[in-house]
Formats: sequence, structure tokens, C-alpha cells
Amino acid sequence: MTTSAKPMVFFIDDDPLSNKFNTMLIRKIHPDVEIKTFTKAEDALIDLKEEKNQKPEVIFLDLNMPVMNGWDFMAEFKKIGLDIEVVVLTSSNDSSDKEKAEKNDQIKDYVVKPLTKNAFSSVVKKFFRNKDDE
Amino acid sequence: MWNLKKIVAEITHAGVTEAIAFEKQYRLKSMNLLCIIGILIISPYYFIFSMAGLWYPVIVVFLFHVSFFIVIVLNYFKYYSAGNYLLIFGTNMGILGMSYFIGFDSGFHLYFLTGPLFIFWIFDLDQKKLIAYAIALELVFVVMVFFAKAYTVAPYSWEQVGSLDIYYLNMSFNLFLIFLLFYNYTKYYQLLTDSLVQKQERLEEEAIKRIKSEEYTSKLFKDLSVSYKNLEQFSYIVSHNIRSPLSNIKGFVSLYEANEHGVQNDHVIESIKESAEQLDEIVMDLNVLLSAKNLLLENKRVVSLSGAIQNVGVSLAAEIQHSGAIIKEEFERDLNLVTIKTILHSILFNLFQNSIRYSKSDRYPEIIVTASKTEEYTEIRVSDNGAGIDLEKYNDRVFMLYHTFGEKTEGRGIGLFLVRSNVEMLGGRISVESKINEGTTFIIQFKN
Repeated sequence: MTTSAKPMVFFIDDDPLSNKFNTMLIRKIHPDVEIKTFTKAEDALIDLKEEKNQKPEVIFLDLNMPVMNGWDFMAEFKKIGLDIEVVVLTSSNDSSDKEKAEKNDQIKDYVVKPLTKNAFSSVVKKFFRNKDDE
Repeated sequence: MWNLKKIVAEITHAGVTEAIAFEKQYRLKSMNLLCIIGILIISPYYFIFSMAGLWYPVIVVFLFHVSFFIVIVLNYFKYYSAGNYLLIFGTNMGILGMSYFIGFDSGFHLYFLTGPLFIFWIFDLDQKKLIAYAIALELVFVVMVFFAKAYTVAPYSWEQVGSLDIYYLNMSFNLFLIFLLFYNYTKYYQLLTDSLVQKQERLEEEAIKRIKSEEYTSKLFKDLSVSYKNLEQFSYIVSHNIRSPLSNIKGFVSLYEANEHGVQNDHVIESIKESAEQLDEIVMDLNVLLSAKNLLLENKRVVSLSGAIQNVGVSLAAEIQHSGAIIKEEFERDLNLVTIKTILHSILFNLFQNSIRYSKSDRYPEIIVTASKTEEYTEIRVSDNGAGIDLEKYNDRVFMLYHTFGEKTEGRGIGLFLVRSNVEMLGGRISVESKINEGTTFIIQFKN
């Protein structure tokens, strides 16, 4: 990971419209943050496994996705062993999903869609702190 | 002119229709009959006694007649117990009175034989015991008479021949009474057994009804828990799939408000429109799923599986032609199901459509339908040579709403959910076997 590069976030969501909105929002409030979007969780895994790729600071992960859903992704992601924060960004405010997310050590936060300026800022404050200190 | 049979029948029915219990009815009938027969049997005694100039016994016979007649009248006016007592009292007094004139030996014959019959009427005793009792008494009496005669110095004289004749007449009356007792007994016993059999049948019927209602309740409970599960999934969909485009709209709207540049706003409006369309599509899906429940209102009837497959083939004609799919039927031509036609059609339609959609691009889709009927189940297997499903991964999600598994995401994750809920609606169950790149088999079992 190179410190000179811009901080990066991943959005993993099967809905392209969601990705589009998230990109537009972050471009607006944090133009200096790099954004990568994936409509398939498998593609995000491939990207993460590639060593030369820049690693994101935060991964925003949707739960309900076809083929590989959020939980499947988390299981695979754990195997890679990267120290990256994961924030669940979903339209489900189902309590069972929330409980499951709380039990998962790697999931740091649970945000119900849509992502807002305040929600993203608080995530940035929490997880980009190291970066700011440097 | 005189239809004796009809008259007797009518008299014997005096007061019967009003008596509710059949035993009572039957006892009334035999009581009336006994009175009629009593009247007829005693009638010759008028001649015998008047010929002999014995006027006092004629009066006794007359009283006998009157008491029999009064018994029938009492029964007719529903004074059943009064009739009963008069019959017993009157007959007994009459017999005793007659015995005085015709000799006590033959008189007591009557008395001992008829007595038990009346006791039966009053106390409703077991008839078997009663007959045994009557016969035993008769035997005791015969022995008594035998000894009485043996120790009587004077034998019967010619003057007594007349009374001897009466003795034989008495004997015939006795024999008739014995016959009546047996007749009574068999008839009554028959009726009693019939009623017991009927009672048992009624009980059995009730038990069957009860078991059926219990089965119905447990089926209802099962249906209810299935509906509940479906409802739960529905609410989950509502929370996710409807909220998803809604939250997009919400988000884009917030971007619009914060944005001064017109160019970006166009993007935002376009995206809101797209999200709205997505939302509309999902609501339409839900409509389809909900309207499927109304299919249950249709009646079950005999449906030929082969015919149903042909119908689905027609519905899917365009997709079949486009993909070059082949549908093979490997089961008995005349295999029938008792089912709701539209639901069966929907099940086969969705399975076939899936098979075509998720076929491998290097081969033509081939769908094989096999079916077999055992005593309990009708099993239908729909196999294809398509892409297959990774069951190790998706085992619990195959039949869930809005879950798709293939590389192709043409499907919207509704078909198999609909198939499962359709199968469950018909009281069946569905399972799946699959191998990646080889094909998938859906196994549906319906209870016969």
C-alpha cells in the first residue's frame, strides 16, 4: 500500500443505480477519495487478491446479491486475510441481518441505504484517521 | 270386504307412532297383537260354555274380551302403563277365574306360562332367562299334576270329558303362547342387535369424521405455517427489494437539492426515473406472486400430464424455437393427475423456462420429464442438461425469492420461488439434484 495514493473505497452492490448514486455522492463531498464499484462480489475478490492493486481503506458491502451474497463474500474475504474495514450498506433494516453483522468481527458498521453525507463522514472519521494522522 | 290383515295391522299399531323408543314401539305392537289373538282364541269358549250351559264362565270370557279391548283402547290413547297393568291384572284374574271352572291344573298351566310374559313387559327382563323360567315352571307344574293325579283316588269320569276337551284347548293356547314368546324374543333380539350394529356404525362414522377433522386441522396448521413462512419472506422482500430503489430515489433527491449545476441534475433525474421503474417492476412481481394464491380457488380435476406438458410447450413456443430445446416425455402415455390444472401448468412452465434460460451455450437444451405413480405418491422429475446449480453453496437458497445462481442473470429470482409455493399449494413437495455443467433435476412429489 502506498501512502502517496489517494485513499480508496470499494462499493460492492449488484444494483448499478446504487453504485452510481454512491459514486456521485462521494465525488461531491470527498473529491479526493478514489472509488471502485463492483456489481459482482466475485469481481471484488479477484481485485483484492491481486497484489499489485491498491487496497481500499473501506469496503461498502451490500448483503442481498445474486450468486455471491454479502455473507458469502465475507467468508471468502476472511480467507484472504486482509486488514480492511467492511461497512455493510444495505436496504435491509432486518434485525436478524443487523445481529449477524454485529457478530462478525470484520464488519465495523451497519448503514441502511441511502448513504448520506453524515454517515459517510463518520465512517471517514473512524477509519481514515490513521491516514489523517500521517 | 273385510281385509282382516289390514285391520289387525291397524289395531296393532294403536298408539305406536307416538312411542318414541323402538323397544317400546315393539312391545306395544306385540301387546296389541296379543290382545287381538287373545280375543280370537277365547271366542270359541262362548260356544263351548254356552253349549254346556255354563253361563257363569261365559261372563268370565266376556270380561276377558272386554279387558283385551280396553288394553288396546288405552294404548291408542297413550296410557301405556295403564294398558300394561290392566293386561296383567285382567288376564291373571281371568285365568284364575277360568281355572275355577275348568280345573286348576290346566288353569295354572296358563297362569305360569303367561305370568312371565307379563313380567317381561313390566320389568323389561332378559327374554332368554324368561323363557327358561317359563319352561322350568311348566315342567314343575306337569310333575305336580302327575303326582296329584297319581294320588287322586277317583280317575277322570265321563263327566269330565268336556273339561278334558277344554284342557286340550288350553294346551293349544299354551303352545301358542310359547310360540308368541319365542317370536317376541327373536324379533326383539333382532331389533336390538340391529340397533347395536347401527349404533356401532354411527360411532365408527363419528370416529372417522373426527380423524378426518384432525387431519384437516393438522393440514390447516401446515398450510398456515407455510403461509407464514411465505409471508415472512414477503416482508423480507418488502424490506429489501422495495426499499432498495426507494432509497436510491431518496439518495438521488438529496443530491439534486445539494447540486447547483444543471448537468449533474439531469443525471440525477434520469436515475430517479430508472429507480422508479425498478420499483414498479418489483411491485408487479409481487402482484404475480399474490395472484398465484387465487389459483387455489379452482377445482381439482383429472389432468393428463402429457397434455399439460404440451400446453406448456405451446406457451413457451417462441423460447423453445429460439433455443432449439427438446422436451422428452418418458412416462406412460395415460398418466393422469388429480390436480389444479393452472397450478400444474405454472409449475411446468417455470421449470421448463429455467431449463431453457440456464442452458449451456455449447449444446441444445434437452428437458426430460419422467413420472411414476406409486400407491402413495405421484413423482414427476424434470431434468435438463443445463448449467446446473452449485448446491453445496446455494442449497438453502434455491427456492428463495429474488435469488439467482447462474452466470446469466436474465432471471429475476421469481420462478423457482413460485414453483415451490405452487407445489406446496397442491400439498406436494419439491427437491432438487444438480451437478455444475451437467444439469439439474427437480423432483416433485404429489400425494395421491
